[in-house]
Amino acid sequence: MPRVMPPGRTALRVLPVLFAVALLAILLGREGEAFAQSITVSPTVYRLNAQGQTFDRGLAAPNTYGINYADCVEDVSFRFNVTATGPGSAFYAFISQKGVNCGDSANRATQTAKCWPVMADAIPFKNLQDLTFRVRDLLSQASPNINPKVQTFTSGTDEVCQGKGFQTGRLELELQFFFLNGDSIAGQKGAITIPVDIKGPPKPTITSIGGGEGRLYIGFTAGSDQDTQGYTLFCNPPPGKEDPGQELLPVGAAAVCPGTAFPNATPIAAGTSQSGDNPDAGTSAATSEGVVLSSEYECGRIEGSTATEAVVTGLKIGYPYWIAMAARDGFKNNGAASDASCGVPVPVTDFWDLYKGAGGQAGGGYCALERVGGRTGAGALGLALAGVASLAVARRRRRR
Amino acid sequence: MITRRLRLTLGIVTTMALVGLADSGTAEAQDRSGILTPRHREVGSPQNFAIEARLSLYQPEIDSEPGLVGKPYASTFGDMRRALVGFEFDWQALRIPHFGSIGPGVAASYTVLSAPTYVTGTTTPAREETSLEVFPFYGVAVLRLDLLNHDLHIPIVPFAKAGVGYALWRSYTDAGTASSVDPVSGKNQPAKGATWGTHAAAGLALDLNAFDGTAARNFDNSMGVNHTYIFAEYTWMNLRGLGGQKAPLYVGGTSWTFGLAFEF
Repeated sequence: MPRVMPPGRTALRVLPVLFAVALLAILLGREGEAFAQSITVSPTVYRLNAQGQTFDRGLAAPNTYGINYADCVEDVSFRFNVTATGPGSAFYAFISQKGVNCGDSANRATQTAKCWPVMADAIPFKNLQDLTFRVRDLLSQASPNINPKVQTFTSGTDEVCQGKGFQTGRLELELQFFFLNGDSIAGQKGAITIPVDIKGPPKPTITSIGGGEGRLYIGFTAGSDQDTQGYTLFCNPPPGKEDPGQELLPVGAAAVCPGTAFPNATPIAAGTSQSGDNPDAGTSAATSEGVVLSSEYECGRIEGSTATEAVVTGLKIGYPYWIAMAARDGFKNNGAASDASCGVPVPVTDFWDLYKGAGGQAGGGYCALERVGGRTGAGALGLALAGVASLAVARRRRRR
Repeated sequence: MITRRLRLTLGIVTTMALVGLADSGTAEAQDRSGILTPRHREVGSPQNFAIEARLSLYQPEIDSEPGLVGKPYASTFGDMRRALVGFEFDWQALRIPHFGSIGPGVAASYTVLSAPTYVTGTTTPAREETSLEVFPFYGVAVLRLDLLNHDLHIPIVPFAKAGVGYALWRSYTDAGTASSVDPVSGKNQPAKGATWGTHAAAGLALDLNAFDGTAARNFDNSMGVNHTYIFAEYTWMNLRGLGGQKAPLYVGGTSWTFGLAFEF
């Protein structure tokens, strides 16, 4: 026998179901909102000089948009193209070593921070915008020795460029953008990897320096580092900038160079132990890690890491030159300069000098022979060879 | 200096080469009558050519140039012989049964000699190097007497070569081609040029087929190589100018040459 429920009781039973459905709808709606928030970062990055103009550093892939020492010293900025989808009023930018999730609040905490803000304030929300960050700011926050590990933004100074706390090899940082809902990340974060290497390889050691005619031969041993991709040579004075008043050394005299080897050298990691008694590259400002020399002294380059001898050309015979060299990495960073050595190009006597001095008559070029010998020349030999070839072909044809 | 005996030998070889080339048509005609065979068919595939990989112990006779005071070559490069590597290609145009083959051949080789320079006015070696590179070429008539090998089964093949030599040469330092100023014209003269001369050689080749006939047949079947030799040769590169060539650099010399030869 069917049971008939009164209308009032039916309504009481349906009401909780309707309430649950409505609640679920609200929750799902909120979840949908949360998933709608996302940030993406374009892989194309622009390098801006201090005047805000874009330029190319000429670094090879995969470090095209990497940060090197010159970027830091020249106070270069990087511009990123960021796309955000809302809703939201602002989002944040943090930097960390690659692989650290800055969405995890523990990684942004004061004592255990692994992520640091790269802007003082939150970034106002826009769907599409270019965000520019100074390299010094990025590095300052990422440098474990300089950053005080607080959740407040600290602007970077030129101190960071000395590379204190950085290794000589390639480091990957990650710039992360995300919305925050309280302490938790909201939506999908955007991130871009930034290769960094602001510290050149260890300094090589000059083991010998020998003179040639207008050139110097520098024997050296490399520092132990896998990062080295070449060497940069430094001369003081650089070729073409010799002091016309400098007295030339007589042939056979020992090389003696005047004055300080390389004035205005930049010490690496100032504040560490001084080495005034045995100054690198001849400057009393040197530190235990050495000095970086200015490109104004550059007088040659070697590509590749296996070389053990370098040659500087275009030098003046009898003029004393200070010579130093530095290893260079894939980010075009010159490492610390070697100790400076003094060298003097010398006049040399080669075989041809001896031959001519002994009364030898030959020489004048291949074409000179044609004039002297009339029809006898390379062409005659060519004709003879062609004749032999023709004979061979003709004979083979006859046989067929 | 070429001795009288050498001149005689060269004359004979050259004459034979010229006669051989001039009479090749006659020889073919005789071949049709069965007297001569233009091709060697003793070991399988036809044999018309030979190629040699050569290594000579070379020392140019630059210091023997007339009028030269002192020994600039020996003073710079010393008297140790240097390696001259090259190859030779011969066409065995004419085969004379029970005697051997004769035909033209061409060759090219290369060597470079290097030594330290000296600080001018001293005996102190400088770090900079001075070098002399030489590219000798020659075109010769080649006579190979293989009657011992073919008829008497003694795997020795005497041979002789005679013809014209030519060498390109250049002296340079680390800074590039050396040069000197002509005292008459005042012009800069680069330290490079070419020298003509005569070329002769005589030697013995050992037929390696005698040591492994099966391998030799396989080599012939697969690559068409009839004979493989190692050889030793005494070489006269008389590169002192030819036909009135003025002021040649004496880049020739006598040397022992060793190598590997293939007939195919």
